[in-house]
Amino acid sequence: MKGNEHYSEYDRLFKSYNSIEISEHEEKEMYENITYGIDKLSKKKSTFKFLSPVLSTAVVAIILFFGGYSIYNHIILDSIELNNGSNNATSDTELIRQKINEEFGVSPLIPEHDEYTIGNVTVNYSILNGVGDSNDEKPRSVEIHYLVSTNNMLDQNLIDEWGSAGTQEIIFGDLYLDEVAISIEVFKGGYGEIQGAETIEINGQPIQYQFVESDIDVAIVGINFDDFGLMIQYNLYHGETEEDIKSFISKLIEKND
Amino acid sequence: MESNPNKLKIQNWYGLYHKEIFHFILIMIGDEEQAKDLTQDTFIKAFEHIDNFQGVTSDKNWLYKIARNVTIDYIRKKKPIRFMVESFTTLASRDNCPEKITQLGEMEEQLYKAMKRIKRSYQEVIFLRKIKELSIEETAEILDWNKTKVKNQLFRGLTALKREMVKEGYEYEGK
Repeated sequence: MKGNEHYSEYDRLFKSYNSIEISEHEEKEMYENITYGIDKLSKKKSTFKFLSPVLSTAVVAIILFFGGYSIYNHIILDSIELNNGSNNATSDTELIRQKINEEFGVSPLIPEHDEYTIGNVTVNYSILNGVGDSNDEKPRSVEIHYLVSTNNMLDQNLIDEWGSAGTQEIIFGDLYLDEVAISIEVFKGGYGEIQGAETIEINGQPIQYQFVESDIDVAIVGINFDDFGLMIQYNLYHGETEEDIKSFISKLIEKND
Repeated sequence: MESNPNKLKIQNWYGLYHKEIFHFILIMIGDEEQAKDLTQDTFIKAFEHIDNFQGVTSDKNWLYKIARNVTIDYIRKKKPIRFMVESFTTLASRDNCPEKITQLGEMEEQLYKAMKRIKRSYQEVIFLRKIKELSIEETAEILDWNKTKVKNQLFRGLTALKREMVKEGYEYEGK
């Protein structure tokens, strides 16, 4: 009967989770935020109904205008530039650095990757952004995604749904369904701590490093610089080794030292 | 004077089910502040889609389904890679334990940490069947599984959980 006793002890423990308390203040806060969210949604719905035909016309006009501008800017001007043999284009990584600085106030410089493309950079807000008293909430972090490929761009419905949560805003690139190979999250001050990670040194810089073995192995790395910290998740899709990860981290450190 | 019947319905559901939904999300993600945010999101999403609610499932089970989707979406959006790793195995932050759980006691904390080391699907089925004591039918409905899968996953989940508890040094006193 030992097994039964064992399970009844587990059952007692399981049931005890039902006594996890939510304070009155927390209950009230959630209730108010839900009510606010519902009101906001109701208002949005009714406004959208009214504006829908107007918006459709405006969107078509914008597409026509910017389509023409884009042809002029990207095809005609680029071809003039190429013919003149000059190339003043700012690199993506420098552009990303500038954008992050504008939106978040720190300037991490990230390296290019031989295999992966930087698909997008997003600013992350708290999920309560725009709800209740949190209208003026500042960004929590910035996230840079290196993608395995950029073949499957999200369709407009999914982009709208992604944006409707109000927790993230794209500041560079586009949204794709392709797998994320490397994700770098930038935090002001520092990244905090990775529980259970070992501390190693790369280029004389102490970093936290954890390697998680799974169907697809993942390395989680934390680095602090003067005024920002980076939390990196590197997914080993293409048979890379831990040395490859460390070499990427080394480039990252060199650029920001 | 409140005139929106759907809003009233959601407010009523909040009164009835917010604790259960919060418990579910907290156990799944282990972050109290985020669990509160996602609980709010669940009810706001329920309002958004209430016109599609046919009443085929119970209102509570429908909310559980939304809470599950909201939680999975959050994990995916937050960390696409982490989500994938979590679906199969354990994760870096597995040793973090929410304060609300540590307050329950040492054994509860130990069990929670062991829970975080097993697959997400095991955690879900254990939560619904063992913590909330929902029936096999209700659990199958919420998780979109058949009844056999619920039974199998629960058995495997409990076995995996027991293994993790032993690894944590857990020994039942009555042994």
